[in-house]
Amino acid sequence: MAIYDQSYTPWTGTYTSRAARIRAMVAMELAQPFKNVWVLVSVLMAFSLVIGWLLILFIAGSSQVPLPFAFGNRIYRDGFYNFPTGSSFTLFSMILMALSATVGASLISRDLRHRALLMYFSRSITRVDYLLGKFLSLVLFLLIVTLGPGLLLFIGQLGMSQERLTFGQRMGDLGAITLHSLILTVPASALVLAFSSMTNRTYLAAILWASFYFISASTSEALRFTLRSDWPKILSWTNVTAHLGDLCYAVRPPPDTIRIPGAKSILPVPPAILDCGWLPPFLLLTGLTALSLLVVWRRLRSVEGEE
Amino acid sequence: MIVEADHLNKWYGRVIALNDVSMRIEPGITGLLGPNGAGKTSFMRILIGLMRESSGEMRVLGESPWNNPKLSVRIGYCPEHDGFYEGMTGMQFVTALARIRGVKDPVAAAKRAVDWVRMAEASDRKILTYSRGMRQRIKIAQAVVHKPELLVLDEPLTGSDPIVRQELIGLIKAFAQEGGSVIVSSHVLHEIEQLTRRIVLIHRGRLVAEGDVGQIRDLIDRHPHTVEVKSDRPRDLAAALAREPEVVEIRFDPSAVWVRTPKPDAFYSKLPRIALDAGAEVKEISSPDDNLEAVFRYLTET
Amino acid sequence: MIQAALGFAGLTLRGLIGGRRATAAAVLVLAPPFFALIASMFGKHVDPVKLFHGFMFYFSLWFVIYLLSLIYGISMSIGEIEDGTAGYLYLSAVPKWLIVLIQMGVTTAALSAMLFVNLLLTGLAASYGRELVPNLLRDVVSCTLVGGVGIAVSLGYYVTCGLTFRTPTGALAAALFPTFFWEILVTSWPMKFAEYTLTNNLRGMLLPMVFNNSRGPLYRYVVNFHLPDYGEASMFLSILMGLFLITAMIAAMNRSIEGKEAR
Repeated sequence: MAIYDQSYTPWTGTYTSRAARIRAMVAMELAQPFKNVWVLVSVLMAFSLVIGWLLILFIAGSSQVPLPFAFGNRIYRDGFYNFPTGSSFTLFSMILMALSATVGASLISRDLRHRALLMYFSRSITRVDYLLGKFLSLVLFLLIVTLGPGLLLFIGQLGMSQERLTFGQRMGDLGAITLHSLILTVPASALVLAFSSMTNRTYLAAILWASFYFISASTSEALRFTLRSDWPKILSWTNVTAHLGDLCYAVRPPPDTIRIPGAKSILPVPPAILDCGWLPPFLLLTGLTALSLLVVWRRLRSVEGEE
Repeated sequence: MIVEADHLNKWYGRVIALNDVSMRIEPGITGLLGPNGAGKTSFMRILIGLMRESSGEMRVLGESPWNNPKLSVRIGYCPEHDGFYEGMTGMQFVTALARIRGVKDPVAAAKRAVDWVRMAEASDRKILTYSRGMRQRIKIAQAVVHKPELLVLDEPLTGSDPIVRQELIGLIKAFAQEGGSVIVSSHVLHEIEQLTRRIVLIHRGRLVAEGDVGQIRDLIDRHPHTVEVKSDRPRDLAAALAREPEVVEIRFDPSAVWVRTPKPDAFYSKLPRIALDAGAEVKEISSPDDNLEAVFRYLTET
Repeated sequence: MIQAALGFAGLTLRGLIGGRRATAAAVLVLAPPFFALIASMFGKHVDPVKLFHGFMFYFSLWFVIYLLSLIYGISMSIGEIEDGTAGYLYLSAVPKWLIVLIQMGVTTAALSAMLFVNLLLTGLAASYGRELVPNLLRDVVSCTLVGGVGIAVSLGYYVTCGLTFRTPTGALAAALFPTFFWEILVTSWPMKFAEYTLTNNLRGMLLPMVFNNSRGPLYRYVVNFHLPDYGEASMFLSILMGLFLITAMIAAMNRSIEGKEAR
């Protein structure tokens, strides 16, 4: 005897748009990192660099002491993003590596651990939505740490800069900061997601990313020293991102030397990090990003099948 | 006495998991009952020495369980959730754990334990390929491989199908018949009823009641049950029901009648005739009180 | 008790060779020889000794030991708790402090063996197409012994972090911060504190064995060239090793498995 449920009526509402679904995923993921004390400490460290510089600028401006770093756009590069340079590493890039490892390593590995992928994909969430949501949430979080302090520094410079710049030059600086931040965050996010998709253990994904970061620098240094050649520099993640970032600031190229009014010394311009232009490192980063996203995609398909 | 707890407290930050729990558990099978989050697992973890109490004292087989390996080998523990070493077969898993517990001939002991839980045929397969019931049995095998005096089982029947459930109940009873003691936790009364008549009830970290399961059942039956009857003519039905001596309280709304009665069985048997006489169609009958939660509510409110 | 201890040793060894961790460790071990081979095959005016020693100091003593110890140190402690297998280990015939000691001993030995393979392959790769690096075995064994000390120290610290902090994120942050910010940044800067890093003490211990106590351009990161000598370095490392062993054992004794981490 068949039994029919007369009370059931199918839902006739409309689904939200894809953008809304992705936005919901991003909002969900973006709220998580700030609950972690270590993440908050790291974010504060990133901002504290900038706040330190703003104080210095304020004091220098008030005392009318010409400050070498306040001229040109060196303050963004050497004062913040590439500060301080020690061997192949900069403090800021290591903070970024640690943050992306802490926040990004769990994005997919956590879902793998708790077998949540089926739950996601049983709804009207496609793999593309899932991937975009995770990717954008990590990129946005890292932009808060990179672009946020950079913008704060930019605004500080607007008020306390010791040189007169045109509107176009200011906008050029703003564009450079934004582009540099994207260079730092987008490929890193893709790589971290790739490592996160490879394992259901968050700490292992974080270690893999940290390993990649340090081994790239170490290999570059070791080969550079032993081969007595400069081409291995391109193997270092820090060098590639720093070089591309430096090229962004080339919209306002400094003279060979920077002469500061009233100062006796001049500030030499550091040499370019890599000898090649923008294309090889750009292609390298783009290739890594694409490969990483492909790895994530393949993992999502294979794991979904296993579940 | 197998277990003695004196003013046991455990808190995680601001959350109190166990609140001044004092109890004595005698040899045999004892059921630890409580809803989710009651504190059963916390109590068990302190009992086996995985976790330290925040204050108070716990003694198991006369000794403190914390950092006491000599006591640990006298206890067997089957955790609620699965945790296995990747890539191991069932036999390898049980043998490895037998070895670290100092069993003299771990391979033979593992074989005995695996046979006892009736997993001999599947023991050479990887645990990853096991069904839920098979995993439960392998977990019980590792818990008994070193012939413990006390077996502590954390919700062993949860998630199992009825056949596996009966098998597991049989194993637990067999262990007790061989002289061992068992403490088994669950949030389902009738599961525990099949195993033992001795029950300890925990709710929100507090010891609510302990004793014979019959006494708990009587408590359920003695306190008034609420019964909801959905009808097309609730006013007429309510008027008819109000005359019945089994009904101690009644209220109704446009779709249903709620009745409180201390004798639910008698009420159920009379309800069809009453509804017929009143000319009311009964659409649905339900009773939210016939469960452990209702008992806890009753016990914690009195 | 001895049987139980041997059982733990076996279980630890088994854990070392399974899963993604083993793959990551294999990549770490094989990466330096691979790059050394590339350099050897395609480099111009390559000095095999410089190439080998360069990789030994910039790779093996600087990253390989830390990353290997990190992978296994964290998985040995908090990984077991996350997987739900820690409960089985702690309910054994062996006291918790001895469990940690056994695990660390076995892991140190195994990781040292991996380091030996790493160094030997690097030396052979550096010698590709040329004469074998002189005193290769002496240098490899010396560096393995010294690296083994580094592994023991860093493993002790990472296990302590894993057993002290409640979450993997907290443990990893506590592990990564001193290793990479102190060890890597400080060894890169010309400051006196550089002599208090584990890396420079390992280098100070290795120096008399492989370079006949001469200081050449390989030590350019320590601009003030203040490396501790063998005696100072061995004392410093012994103190560190003892300290972290004790903290790991104490952390194990006091570790409660509670909350959602416990299964």
